[in-house]
Amino acid sequence: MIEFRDVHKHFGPLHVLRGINLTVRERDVVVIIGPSGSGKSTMIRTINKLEPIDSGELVVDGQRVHDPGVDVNKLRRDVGMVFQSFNLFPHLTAAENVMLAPRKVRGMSAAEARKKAMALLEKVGIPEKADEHPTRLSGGQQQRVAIARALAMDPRIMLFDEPTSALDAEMIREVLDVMRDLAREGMTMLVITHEVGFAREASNRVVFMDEGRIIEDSPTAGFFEAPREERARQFLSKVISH
Amino acid sequence: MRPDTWPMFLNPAIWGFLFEGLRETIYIALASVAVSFPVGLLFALGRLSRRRWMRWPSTFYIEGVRALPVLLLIAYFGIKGSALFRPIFGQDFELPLFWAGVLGLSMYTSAVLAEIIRAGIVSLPRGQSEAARALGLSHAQTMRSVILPQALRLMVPAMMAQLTTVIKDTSLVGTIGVFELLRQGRTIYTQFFNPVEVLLIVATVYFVICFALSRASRRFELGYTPRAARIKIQDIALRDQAA
Amino acid sequence: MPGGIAFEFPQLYFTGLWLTIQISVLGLLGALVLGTLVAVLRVSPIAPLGWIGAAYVEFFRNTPLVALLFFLFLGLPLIGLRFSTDTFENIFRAAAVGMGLYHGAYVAEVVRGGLLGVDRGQIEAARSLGLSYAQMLRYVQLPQTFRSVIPPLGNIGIALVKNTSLASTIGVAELLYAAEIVESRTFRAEEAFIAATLLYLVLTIPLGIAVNALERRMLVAR
Repeated sequence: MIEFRDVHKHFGPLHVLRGINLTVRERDVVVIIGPSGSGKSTMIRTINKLEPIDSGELVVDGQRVHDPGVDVNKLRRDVGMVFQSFNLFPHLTAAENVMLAPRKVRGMSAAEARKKAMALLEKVGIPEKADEHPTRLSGGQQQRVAIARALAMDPRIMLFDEPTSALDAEMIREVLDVMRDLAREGMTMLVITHEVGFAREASNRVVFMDEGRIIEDSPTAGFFEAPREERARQFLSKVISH
Repeated sequence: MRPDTWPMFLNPAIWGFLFEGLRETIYIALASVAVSFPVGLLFALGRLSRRRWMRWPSTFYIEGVRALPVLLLIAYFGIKGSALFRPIFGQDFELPLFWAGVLGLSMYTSAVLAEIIRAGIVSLPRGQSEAARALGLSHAQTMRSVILPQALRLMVPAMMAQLTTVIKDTSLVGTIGVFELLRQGRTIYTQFFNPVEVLLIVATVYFVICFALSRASRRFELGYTPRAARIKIQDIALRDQAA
Repeated sequence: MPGGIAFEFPQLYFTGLWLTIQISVLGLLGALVLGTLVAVLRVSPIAPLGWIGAAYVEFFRNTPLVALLFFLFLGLPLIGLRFSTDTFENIFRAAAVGMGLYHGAYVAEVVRGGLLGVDRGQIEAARSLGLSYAQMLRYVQLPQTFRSVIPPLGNIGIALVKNTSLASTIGVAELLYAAEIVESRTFRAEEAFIAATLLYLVLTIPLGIAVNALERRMLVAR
């Protein structure tokens, strides 16, 4: 469903992706871990072309992302994204945030979009906040609205870029619960997170990145107990200890 | 202040005369804002465009016009306004001085508004446009549905503050012969030789309007306005407080 | 050559430029001194002083500069105040004083912002060392505002240079006045105004570049 073949990416003199090879199949839930600056975030942002790639091949849902002729907006409809900083639109209510893309991109009627938004807010557990503006919501609630917003376009793939790093413990759980349900329903997901508990329960693969390369790509079962690579082992000992 | 100069203000005709000027002042200000807002928005988007042929002329217009005294623009259109439009409207066309003044004032105000709008747009966190683009919205849709509604709301206070500047600047249009408030006041005091009294009254009228507007603008400060944006916009406003 | 007309009427244009510069410099100095004083009044712990400062700022920010100039030029002599018995000197000084009074209000707002931006700990530390309020202002609080107020003060300087054009309305033969005279003699409006425009730009553009450069340097330094 997603295929990276020798993908490279530079930011000026910085070589941030150094030959990424990765295949993600339908219904895969891939957790990506690694130290900051390892290129995790850049890698998943190339999937919906928020970052263009310099060389290599990247095929997402049958579309070659790096082709000049590719319809980026169409590609992005099929790939939902959730950001660390939520990025809700503060001038819109929770429901309006969810309705925006269906209305503008799909041309859905207001009533229909509203119905869909309510169903999604129900799914993430905060229907009662539908008409609140984001500033009135807690971080966890905001992030759940952001998930609902991404789901509103019926994406086939969901990308999560450290969705819980800006939250405190209580709120982390409510967001992870929603993500776990999504995984259970068979959504194809790429998740950057250091939440080992979530990775164990919900993911089937773990990818460890460092310095722009994928160092290890293993089934979840066993990875946390016995990573093959030394660098992954060192990293895990740091992450799990706290 | 001679005591005999105040009783004349008991004559309602004097107030009627000043009121006519005030009405003209308000018309000039409203017309200028109505013209300069869309023009300013266009130039702001032009300056943010990725296309060089849009970006360069927009930048040139904004920076060039802002570097000029607004009175110079008004004086120029006062003298040459009619001639400029004759190729379009025919040899007999006379541009009313009112519109010459509005033209000069709008040219300047549009450049200022363009900078305010641009500052509002670039001050929004990058995540906003990224999130919109990630949802599949096009560049134009992102601007229209996500960026501009936020940026424009962010700018309401700055724009209202700019309106007070525009109202003060209408007094410059009097120099090309439009009978706005200050000009009406000058007509009175050249008749009655009482500039102190008249200017105090006229200044009070400007003060009441502008003070009320700047007070009101503060009420529109929004909770989610990024601090940096507020400061940046204030700076622009500061530089462009003409006259 | 654009602006070439200035060399046909050098007397008008270059005297005009020189007057513009003089009024700008005097006005700016006045505005800085007045503005700083008013800002200190505004942050002073004595409430009535604060009100006086606020009244000054609000009054001059919300009335037109031309009205102020007319007042200084026509109104003051009637109540027995004249800057000079010489007519030319009188309007020149009226213009410079007007620039100082009006822009002083804007300077005051900027300096006040700078003063309020100084960390309270600095003030408390200075007072606890035994410095008086005035000494604390002079040696601790004011010097620390210096960096943050320079770019906005530069912007006020640019506005001031442009606003000297308003002195033409009371008869100061500065740049805009020169352009209007030349236009009325030659009917070459474009040339006459472009010459004045270029001479204004000679003053405002370097100021603008300096302000931008300073702003950028401060962003880096922060």
